[in-house]
Amino acid sequence: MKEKPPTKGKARLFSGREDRDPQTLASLLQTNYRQVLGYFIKLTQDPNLAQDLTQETMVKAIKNINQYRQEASFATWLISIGANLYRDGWRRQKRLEKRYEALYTAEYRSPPPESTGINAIAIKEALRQLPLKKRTPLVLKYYYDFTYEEIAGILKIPVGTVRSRLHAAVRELRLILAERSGQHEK
Amino acid sequence: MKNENELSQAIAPIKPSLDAYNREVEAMVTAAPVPPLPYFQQLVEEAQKTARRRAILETLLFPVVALLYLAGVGLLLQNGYLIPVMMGYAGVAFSLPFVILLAQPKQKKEVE
Repeated sequence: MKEKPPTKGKARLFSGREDRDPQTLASLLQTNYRQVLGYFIKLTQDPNLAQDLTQETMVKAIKNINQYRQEASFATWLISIGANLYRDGWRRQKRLEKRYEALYTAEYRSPPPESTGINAIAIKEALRQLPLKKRTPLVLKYYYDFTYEEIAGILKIPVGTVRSRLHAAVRELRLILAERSGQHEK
Repeated sequence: MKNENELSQAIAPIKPSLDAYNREVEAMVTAAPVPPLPYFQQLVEEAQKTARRRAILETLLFPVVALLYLAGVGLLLQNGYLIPVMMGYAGVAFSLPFVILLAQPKQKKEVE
């Protein structure tokens, strides 16, 4: 389990009047830009879409800054906005995923195939096959080390559902990877 | 898979692949240019300006709509439509509690 978005820290600069201090807010958004971008790349595997979603998340965060309660880190709050933004725009995402099929082979900012490990390629394809409702909790759990309760809060679903989706996600991922390795052996 | 330890055990066989993917993404993210601070400042200012404009518009629009509605009712009464207006109000007064009580909250469709 990996990086947890940095806790508190800079976010503590806020004192309830952040909407009148564009400088502080802008600097916080800049600091957390890569964190949010990374989250979206892991989720969508499309750097262009990830950049668009990151920008949309930032704009939504600015509009809803008064709702930020400082119970979690600013990065966590941004990721939570992003997770819901992506889920709510799932129809558009489906459309873009179709376009992604073409983009995937194109030469966007992804490292060249020879520099990408076989493991990463396999897991990318396996993750792509995973339904979004299973992929999102898995990304939040494995790459950001959120607790079940935090994921439930972010995705607005019961903790039990988070557990079962994570279980199903891991099982499905292992199955897909096993099938792939079986195909390679043949 | 009831607890996090069991989840970690289940993930263990695919951990190298997940970590390799993480490294790849991190490399991409590190290489990706972060927009300069003025870009974010502009984003903040524009979003706040839009929000302020929207709030002002909503504040102005509410009394306008309310006045138009009252003027419409007044016009109907002036033209002798007392009974239809009364029936309309009675219908709303009677059905509103049931609508509030019985209306199901719209369920958000889950993403597959």
